[in-house]
Amino acid sequence: MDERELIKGCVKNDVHSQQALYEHFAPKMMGVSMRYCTSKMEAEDVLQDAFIKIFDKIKTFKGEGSFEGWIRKIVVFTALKSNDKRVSKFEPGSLENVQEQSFDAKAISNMETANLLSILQELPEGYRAVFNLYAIEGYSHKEIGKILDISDVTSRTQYSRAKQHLIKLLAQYGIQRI
Amino acid sequence: MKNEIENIFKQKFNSFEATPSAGLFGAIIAKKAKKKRAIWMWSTAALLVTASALGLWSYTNNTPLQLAKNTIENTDKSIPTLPDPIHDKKDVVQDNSIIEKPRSQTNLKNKPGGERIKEEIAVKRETRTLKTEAKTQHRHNKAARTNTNSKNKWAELFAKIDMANPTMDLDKGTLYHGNKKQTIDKSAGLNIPQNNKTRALINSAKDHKTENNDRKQTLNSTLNTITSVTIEQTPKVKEEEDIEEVILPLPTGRLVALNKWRIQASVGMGYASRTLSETNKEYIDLRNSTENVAVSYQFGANVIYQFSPRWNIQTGLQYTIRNELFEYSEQMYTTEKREVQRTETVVHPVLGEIERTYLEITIDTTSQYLKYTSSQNKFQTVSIPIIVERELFKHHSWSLLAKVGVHAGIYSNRVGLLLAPNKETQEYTTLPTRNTGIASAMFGTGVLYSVTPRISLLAYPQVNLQLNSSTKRTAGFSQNDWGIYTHVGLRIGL
Repeated sequence: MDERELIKGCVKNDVHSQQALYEHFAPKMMGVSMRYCTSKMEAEDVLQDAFIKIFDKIKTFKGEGSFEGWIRKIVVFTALKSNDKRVSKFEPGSLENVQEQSFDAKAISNMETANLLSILQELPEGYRAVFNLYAIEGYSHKEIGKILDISDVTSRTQYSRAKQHLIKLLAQYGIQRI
Repeated sequence: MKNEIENIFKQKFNSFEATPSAGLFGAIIAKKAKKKRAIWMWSTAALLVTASALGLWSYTNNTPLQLAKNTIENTDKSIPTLPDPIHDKKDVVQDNSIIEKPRSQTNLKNKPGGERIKEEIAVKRETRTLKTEAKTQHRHNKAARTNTNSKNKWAELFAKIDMANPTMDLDKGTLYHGNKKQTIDKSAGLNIPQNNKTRALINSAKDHKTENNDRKQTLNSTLNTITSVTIEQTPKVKEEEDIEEVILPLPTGRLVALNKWRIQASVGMGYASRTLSETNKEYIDLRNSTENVAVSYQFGANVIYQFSPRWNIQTGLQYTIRNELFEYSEQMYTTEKREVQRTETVVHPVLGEIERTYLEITIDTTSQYLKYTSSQNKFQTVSIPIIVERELFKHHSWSLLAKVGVHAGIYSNRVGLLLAPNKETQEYTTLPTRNTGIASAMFGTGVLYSVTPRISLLAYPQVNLQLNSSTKRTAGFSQNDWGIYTHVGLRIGL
């Protein structure tokens, strides 16, 4: 089924179209969800809420831009909102005590994605959110600040600390600092 | 080096996929349907729970007539036999023109010229409290306390007549009052009009009661069993056609004198939304897609004036909270133009090698981020209702009611967000809205269950429709709220 037809069917609340849409996007979106959550069960809860929202809001999608991008953003925001319910995790701070560290980039490239995911999931909640949004989703610190309702300085600080923390975790997998 | 970690993670996770558990889609569809049903289910559940509770109450209080009779017989055995107040004691009926006559013989056309009176007393069909002696004793004490109240003179009178006529009909009877024939059903109570003869009976009953303590005790025991009263009194008129029939609904249970005032408190929960009027249809669609219904509440306190047996008028205060969930998400796009000057060498079959320079322009469109705003909108209104209510149908302790009325808003407050036509979020407080003068119409139909003659429980589904817009003209659009609420509450007779 063509993407437009799929959307039309979902707007009409047609369960077959909804299932087709789900089956097409669920694996990729599960991957996204897992980056923001600490377990598969949690990621599935996020995915469930996100798809309910997608089906409810699909009539607002005007066909401008990528549909996958639209879905992905809903998943990301649902995951962030879900995390937000659990903890308050952003500590404002400055970059004074944060030092950039170097590491063996090639070794990281050779790592399995599953291992990288485990490392990512070990990051504290706030660090993980900022790292995901900045490094993987490609948002600027200003945008992250708006999304997470924090200052852009806090976003920068969180990101740098997240990286420090990540490098420490990578060391446990044998990635050497340079 | 700084950007390497981003690039590695981005590369690795861009195509990363994971398989969710089988059955997750089913769970999504089920949860989606559940979410839609939730509001209606709350309303229905409230109604069902109330109806079931009232039904159970009714069942436990409405034991078969046979049982009731047996109970009364058993109770009577423990009570000293009273002289027949009508046959043995002529002072029960002071007026010699009034004589007792069995119901089976009652026929207006066959009545002698003199006046007759026939009183029938029903027994309370509540065996539950009569089954144990302790409970019976408690009820005796309670009845004794009640009897100190002068409002129970009627009950005392009827109790005496009951003792004199143990075989009487327990259901309906008729009271003739002047030229009026009044059919008094099981809910008979105290607003029976009195004439000289009935007054004489009351006085007689009062004298009788004070004669000795034993009789008083017995009388109190019997009073406890009274639920309704039937009086039949011959009219002064000769022709039956002259009789005008009036049906009086009266309270059940112990006979209690009520005045015409009642007070009522209720709480309602339901589904409430709004309709928008604006020439820009796209804007209305946008608003409708961003504003979702959430469970809303109403609280009411009313004073009721029962101006006729079936009709009443109500007023008081009502506080309404309409909740709404505002959610708005928007995609943001950024475009980036890249220009690269390129040079290439082309081998021409005639001219040989030619160097060509051209400008390569690439425009990258990136979906930047999803703007997501949400808010729990709250619309609060305080209004004064003026409602007319009618009893449509009555069966035992149950009444089916219908009401219609208007609400005059005395205060309104709105908190939350909405989308402006330019798709920017806007605070409700910045809109030109009305704080007073919002009028609404209401109608509903519900059930009332009389727990005691004074206390009733109600379950009342009702509809509220706002008649004028809550925004002023300068707002550019009009917004009228509406809601379907199910109220549950308590009504107390004064």
